[in-house]
Amino acid sequence: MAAIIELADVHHAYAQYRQEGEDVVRTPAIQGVTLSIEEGSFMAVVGHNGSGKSTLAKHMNALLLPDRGTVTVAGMSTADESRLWDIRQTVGMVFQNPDNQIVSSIVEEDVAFGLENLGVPREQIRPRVEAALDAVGMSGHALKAPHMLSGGQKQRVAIAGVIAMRPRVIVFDESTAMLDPAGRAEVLDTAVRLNHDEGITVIWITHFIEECMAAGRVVVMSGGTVDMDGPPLLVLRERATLRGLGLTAPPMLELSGRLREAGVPLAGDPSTLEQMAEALCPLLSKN
Amino acid sequence: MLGNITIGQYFPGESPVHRLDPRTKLIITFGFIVLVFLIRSVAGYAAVFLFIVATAALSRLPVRYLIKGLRPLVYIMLFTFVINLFMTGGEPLVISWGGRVVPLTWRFLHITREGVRMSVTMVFRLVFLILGTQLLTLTTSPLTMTDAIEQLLGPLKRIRFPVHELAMMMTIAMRFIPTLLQETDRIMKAQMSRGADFESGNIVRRARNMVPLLVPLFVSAFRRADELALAMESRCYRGGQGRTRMKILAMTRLDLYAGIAALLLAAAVIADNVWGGMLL
Repeated sequence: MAAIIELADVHHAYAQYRQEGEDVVRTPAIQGVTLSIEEGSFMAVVGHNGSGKSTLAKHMNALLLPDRGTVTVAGMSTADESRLWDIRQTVGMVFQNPDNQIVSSIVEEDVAFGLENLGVPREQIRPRVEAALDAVGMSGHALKAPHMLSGGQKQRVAIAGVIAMRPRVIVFDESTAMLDPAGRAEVLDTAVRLNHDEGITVIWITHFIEECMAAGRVVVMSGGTVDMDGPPLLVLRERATLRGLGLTAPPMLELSGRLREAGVPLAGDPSTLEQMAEALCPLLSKN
Repeated sequence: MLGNITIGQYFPGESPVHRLDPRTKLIITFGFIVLVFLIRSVAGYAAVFLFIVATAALSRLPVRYLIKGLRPLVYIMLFTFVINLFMTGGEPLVISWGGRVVPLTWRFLHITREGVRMSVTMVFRLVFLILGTQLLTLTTSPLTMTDAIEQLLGPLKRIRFPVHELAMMMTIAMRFIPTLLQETDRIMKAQMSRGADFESGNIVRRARNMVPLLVPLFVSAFRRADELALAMESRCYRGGQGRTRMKILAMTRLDLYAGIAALLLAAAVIADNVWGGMLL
């Protein structure tokens, strides 16, 4: 499959202004990231606070431009201002705080917001809004006020607002960070389904490492660089390396690693509770 | 504590009043406000009162909702009443007290016939104004109201008045009223749990005690604004140019009827002013 987003040696630093001397201090956030993201893939980006993962996310739809290096989205450079709106339509973004990304007091009008901005003809807006709400399972809430919804539901409304614009990529910038476990599962399931059914490329930024198990590829960031990159099972079993980056492997992978270290001949890589039970039971019956 | 604010809040429904075009409602309400200050006779007040009652009945709003909106303004009404009662010039009223005739006057305060009339009419005017505007806001969703304002102000675009920007700002403000109220409540509880006191002391002290509430609220409002701007930009928002709308406002037969009813009321009040008005 062809790459839809290409990052080549991307550097970005935030300017910080000091009050006294007015000298500008530039704090580097990402330093030389090169990534190629395939169309239709599900890529998780994980890292602790300040690892540069959110800065990376904002480069993918030209909310931020690289200081050095290039970001190419479906063949368009994000530095090319004439393609700005095409890029933002191609790459949708779902942010962290569900309250701060909903514009309207009525769910369906918020979903229509992006379409109205694009100047889509009126008779096409309503069917697309309804299809988008249906795709995230929020059809029954079309006329509600956002503040009456749960966090997970608000995030699904935000997703509907993005998919109504028919993007090819959706970037979830820590979209589950402010949700309760049920809400997190709702949003992650929605992302997985959109990736699977609609073929939308998903870039899932998170600091919950267990959410990476849903992805086909995991990128671990630290100090503004990509430190690990590969399929989740291969990356997440590297417990020592992860710990060095301030992260802990998902509980079951951690457990299976420790069991193996203790000399338990565990078969396979159990990553869920069920798989762990299945891997352990034969060993118990042998004894 | 903050749950009892009804002014400017929408009460969803499907009544004929809800279904009226917001432009019709806005124009009628503005006309109504002017009309309330033109009334001169009891018959006029009765007509306006009937109009309000009929509209309220048609809107199927719970009566307590309408009454609730009056409550915060009770003091203003009392104040208006008292000021007008004592400060209107004219011949003081007299009452008979134990066989003697006593004028109702004490130092610079006099109760005059004009004063009584003025104070009563002012209170009625205020009540009608509040009820009238409340019927508008309770039956019109903030968003359609914004659309209506945007369309009614449309001609001002020609003189470069930022109509779309104004409407977008109103939409966002209304969207964030409940969010910020919830947040205020949360900060209040957090500060109260650390010993902040919002309820005792005189007015200066109380105002000063609000500072630890307002500062975090402002900081968070600015952060929200920043994030919302990013979210809007990433959804291709670039101002009013080239935007389409999902919903368009459309007038129906209902708007015609409402317009006729409002015109009849206006005609009645004005006719009463010109040819009648001798009752009080």
